This record gives sequence, C-alpha cells and structure tokens, in this order.
Amino acid sequence: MSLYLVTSGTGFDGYSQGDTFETVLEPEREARALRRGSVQLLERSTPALQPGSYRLPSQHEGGKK
Amino acid sequence: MSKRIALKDLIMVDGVDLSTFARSWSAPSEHAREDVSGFNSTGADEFLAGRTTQDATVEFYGSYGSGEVHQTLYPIHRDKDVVWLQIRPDQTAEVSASNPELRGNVQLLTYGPGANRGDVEAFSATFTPADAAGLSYVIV
Repeated sequence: MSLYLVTSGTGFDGYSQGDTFETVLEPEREARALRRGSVQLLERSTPALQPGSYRLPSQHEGGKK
Repeated sequence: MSKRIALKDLIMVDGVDLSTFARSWSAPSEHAREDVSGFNSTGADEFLAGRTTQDATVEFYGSYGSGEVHQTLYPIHRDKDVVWLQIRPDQTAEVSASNPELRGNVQLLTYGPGANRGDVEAFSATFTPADAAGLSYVIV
C-alpha cells in the first residue's frame, strides 16, 4: 500500500490535483504515473509486524493446555 | 430518454482525465458477416455473426504539458503498454444505465500527432482492445 499525491491537473483515477490517496498500483502503472507527473509518491508502507506487538504461542498466557 | 448535446463526455486513459483535450470520439463494434447461404427456394442470402472487431477512436488536441496528451499517450504507445480506457457521456454523473461507460484494456498501436501552420493541433488516436473481454458498456 502506498500513499500518493495527485500532482497533475488532469488528475488520476478520479482524484483531482492536490488529493492524496492510498492504494496499490501495479509497478508498471505506477512508473508511468510517476514519469508523466500524474502523481508523487509520498509514502511506501510495507506491511510488517512491529517488535513487541505480538507474542508467539509458547509466550502466550494460557497457551499450554 | 432525452436527446443530448455532447459537451460533458469523459475520456480517461490509464487513469488520466484527458476530457478537456478531446473533442470527439467514436467506438464502433462490428461482427463479421459470415455468408452461410445455401441453395434455397427464394435465393436469399443467409448470414451469421462472426468475429467481433472493436476499437475506440478519440480526437485529441495536441498538448505537451505534465500529465497531458503527449505525456500520457506516447509512453503507452512506445512501451506497448496495456492500459485502462474509460469513456462515458457525462463526466459529472456516476455510471448508470443512462450514463453507460465504455471500458476495456486497450493498446495504442498507432501514435501520430501532426500540425499545420496556423491551425489547432489535433489528431486521432485509435485504441484497440488488448484482451478477450474487449470493449464493453457497463452501467454500474
């Protein structure tokens, strides 16, 4: 999932210039949009588990039965 | 259903709204006429519908700004990319039965801008279906 800013007056995917939107674009489509100046990539988020945000079964209270 | 004057049409190529840079469009769909005539008492010919040929032709104004006609169409043609084409009668209204949208994955096999001194630069671009789904009108 990535966050984009629409930078072109011709918009992108129904969004107007100045809008931001979050989506997954196919790599080729994203490359075209970036090259022609339709959008600017603001943030690329890679799904990941943050340290401490999870526990493995053996660590889980009541995990043993 | 009322008649309409074409003024608010939507032309979107690869997600880019090129409506303001387009002044006409047409999207013919034709089934080949296959002659399956046999001898008969009336002498009338008999035909069946064969292969379907479709395309969508848009007349664009030449424009070279960021995200405009050239920057949108030329890379698609150069790289033989398959992109999404959307055309509908009214860009200010949602897609519906009374505002059907022609959609499909297309390629731009020919790209040929040109200009005459003193004239508005305009040229036609013909989009050809790139998959078996072809171009079809959707209402939702």
